[in-house]
Amino acid sequence: MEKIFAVINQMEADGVIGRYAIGGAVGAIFWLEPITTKDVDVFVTLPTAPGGTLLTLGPIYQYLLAHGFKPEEQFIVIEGWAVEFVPPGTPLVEEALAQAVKRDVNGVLTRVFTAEHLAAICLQVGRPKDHDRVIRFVEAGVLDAEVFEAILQRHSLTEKWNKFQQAYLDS
Amino acid sequence: MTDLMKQLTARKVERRRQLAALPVGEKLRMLAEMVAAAKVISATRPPKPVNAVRLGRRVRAI
Repeated sequence: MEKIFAVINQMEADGVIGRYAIGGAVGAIFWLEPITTKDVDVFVTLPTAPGGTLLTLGPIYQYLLAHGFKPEEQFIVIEGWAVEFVPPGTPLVEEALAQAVKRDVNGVLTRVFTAEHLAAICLQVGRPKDHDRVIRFVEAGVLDAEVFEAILQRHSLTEKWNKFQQAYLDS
Repeated sequence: MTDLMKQLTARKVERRRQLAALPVGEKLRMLAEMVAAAKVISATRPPKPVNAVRLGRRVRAI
């Protein structure tokens, strides 16, 4: 999978995308045990055209198609993996992208959301699989309580967290 | 929860921690293997039940 990161690093260097970070299940794997997933979520800031404000994924797809990669629904297939480029849709994801950390994968550097941001995003999204992932983050002992609680407070998730703890973590 | 179930849960959590501590390159390689294995499994679909449980469907009391 490091080849995917190399491609994305090149896209960043070429100015096709701004800052990027890996999120979703693949992001979680940096902190947890392997979790099965079919796609790679790449969160990206998109450079705007001079004088323009419209954000579009078009240049990303044009770049990758020109480099021989194939589209598949909303994904682009890179090295056999369905890769989706996602602009941050909430202030929490924007913060996660801004504070993402560098990690080395077999000699290739990439950027990934912190464990605390990934867990907070899961809590905010709140699907059953997200709840399961929050439990895994807690059980793995990878969340810094002070950092996590500060994120929850900044993004008005404290009440949701309290309810989550009552439902799933208090025993 | 019985003591046995608690022990099983504790062992699972410990195993997850051990796997989480592996180098990320190794974990991503394991993911690639899991996805490949899942593709093989999903190629052989079992027959669907006639009265499949659906979300929102109420279960009648017997």
